[in-house]
Amino acid sequence: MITEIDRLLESYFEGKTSVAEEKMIRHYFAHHNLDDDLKEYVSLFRFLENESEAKAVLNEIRHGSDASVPQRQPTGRYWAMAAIAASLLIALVLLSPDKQSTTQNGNYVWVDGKRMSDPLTVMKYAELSFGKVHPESDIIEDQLCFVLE
Amino acid sequence: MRTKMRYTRLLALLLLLTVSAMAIHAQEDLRINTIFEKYGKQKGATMVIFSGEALSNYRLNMYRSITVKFDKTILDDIQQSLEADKHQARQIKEVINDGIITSGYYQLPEVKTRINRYILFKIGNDGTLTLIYMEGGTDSEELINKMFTGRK
Repeated sequence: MITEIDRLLESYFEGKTSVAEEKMIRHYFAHHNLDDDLKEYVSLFRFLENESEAKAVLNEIRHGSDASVPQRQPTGRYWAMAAIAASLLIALVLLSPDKQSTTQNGNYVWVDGKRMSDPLTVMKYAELSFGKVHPESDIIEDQLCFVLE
Repeated sequence: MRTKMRYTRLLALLLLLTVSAMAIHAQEDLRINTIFEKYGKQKGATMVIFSGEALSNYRLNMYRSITVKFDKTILDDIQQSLEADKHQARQIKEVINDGIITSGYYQLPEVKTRINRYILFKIGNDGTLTLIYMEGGTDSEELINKMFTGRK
């Protein structure tokens, strides 16, 4: 006697079943006691019965990993941005214009707190200051002469 | 993976820039700088800051000097600064009277940046204290020695 399930299976293997009929097959294999001749198809239809669950789990994992990607990417970006900010801050502190203007760049002379920037005046004061550190005599030569006298 | 490598390269570049900035800063990291900062603009002081093309004849990039009337506090400050900075010096020429540096010449080479730094100090007969800081390329050494000592 050909049962309803045999007919459905025959249609299934001929590729003639509809989605609803395939669903009925899966439901049958999931919830009925099977005859020995049907048991050989168990793994196929039980797998398919669980396929929707598997897909749901896969979707969950996919969504989970999608959600975790944006969390990881910004972390890397934040580190890079923090590094850029820190470097700029260090550069600003070390090479601040205020510090340079008084210590490094430009041609200026301060006399009694008054600033002058005329190049000739600056040059004159620079020469004057250099003249002040120039030794009048060679101390070693002087001492040797004194000892040898 | 490529993004990670890009970040690593970016961080390495930033690290390099930071180190470079610190190296530039190190040139200024001398104790005598405090003398210029502290007394340069006060009454009775003359401070010269000179840089640029006008110095190229002297093979120098920078010239700074301060001249002040004799003052015990300033003298002590200068003496302490010289004592601190001369540890970096390759060449030292000093005249010390009663434990006080009355005349000093210090050459401080910067091997990495190939810059020679010079500190000159003297207590003048006119009762003034003069402190000079100079920076120049490696070719400045001969000229500065000649100018300071009057011979090579």
